[in-house]
Amino acid sequence: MIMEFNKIYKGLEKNEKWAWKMILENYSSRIYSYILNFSGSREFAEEGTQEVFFRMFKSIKKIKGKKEDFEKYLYTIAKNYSIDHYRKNKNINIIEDKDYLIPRWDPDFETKDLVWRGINQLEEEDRELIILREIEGYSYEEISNLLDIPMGTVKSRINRVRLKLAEIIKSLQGRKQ
Amino acid sequence: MKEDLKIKILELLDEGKFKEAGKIAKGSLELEEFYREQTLLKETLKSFKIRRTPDNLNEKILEKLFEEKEVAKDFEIPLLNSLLKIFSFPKISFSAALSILTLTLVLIIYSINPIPENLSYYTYKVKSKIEFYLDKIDSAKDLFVFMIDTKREEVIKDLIKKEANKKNEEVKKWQIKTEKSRRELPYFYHLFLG
Repeated sequence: MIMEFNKIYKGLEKNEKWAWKMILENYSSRIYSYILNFSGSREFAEEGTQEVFFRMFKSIKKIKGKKEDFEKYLYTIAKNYSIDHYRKNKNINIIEDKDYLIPRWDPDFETKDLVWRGINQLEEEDRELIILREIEGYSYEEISNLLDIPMGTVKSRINRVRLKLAEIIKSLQGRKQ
Repeated sequence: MKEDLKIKILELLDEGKFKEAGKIAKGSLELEEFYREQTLLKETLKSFKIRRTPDNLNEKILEKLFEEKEVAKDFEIPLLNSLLKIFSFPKISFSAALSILTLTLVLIIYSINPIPENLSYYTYKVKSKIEFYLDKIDSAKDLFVFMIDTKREEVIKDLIKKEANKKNEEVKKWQIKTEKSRRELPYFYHLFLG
């Protein structure tokens, strides 16, 4: 962000359009990507992103001007929203829009499809860690702040999830063959 | 031992040190496979990142947010809102509350005990102030009545007469006083009395 967060936050508090525009430019794609990877539905990700910013707009005064708190709050809303959707649709079809993420013409379609199905078999918490670290590219420190977990724990848990995911993928591959 | 090496490989891959991770894996079939597997996994996961939102999503969100703000504005009661604003300012609300309290106290004192014998100096001051303002209000009321009165000219004549009588009485009082104190009127006094 070019401008200091404090200045933008003052604009957010006064509900000034320019401030919200800046926030959307910086965060909407991240939130969209997070919800899409979590839920697997493009339509839901679009609705979810709107809902997340709408909830943020309503409760902006609860966050006291710190960028870390702002991001944490934003991701908590996105996470709760995604988990809610995931639980409701667990037994239906969570990868309804997979083609959007992995098009059939992709030369690596098979690998991507396998990894995608592997992620979808992970537990909610594990999936969140993999999305934040490997897909969204957050640092361990940022994840530790977002999820309120010590950095050492984040590191060890992510390593464990990596091993677990590899095992799941192997078993999926075995089943396919 | 191998588990530790796997964790080391993961850490190096995480830091982007692919060559070093490859060196550790070299020599062991299991570790080499693990290295290939994790490198592929890392690359594939990275490709899932969506860098752009769908067209117009930001505009849609902005529109929704500010539409809501406008709706909220329409439902505001202006008077209540302004009052709340005044009382939300701490200094003003404090002084307003203090003045309301003082006024209530004064009115209670005044209604319970109009002119007590042992009235303190401050109560007396407050009472006289109130009387002064009540008098002012009374005069304002008279003035208002006078303005809407149809027999205004007669009233004016009465007032002039009253004023002249008052003046005469003043002169007489002064003369009596001067006779008693055997003092003469200053030469300019007549200028003021006409």
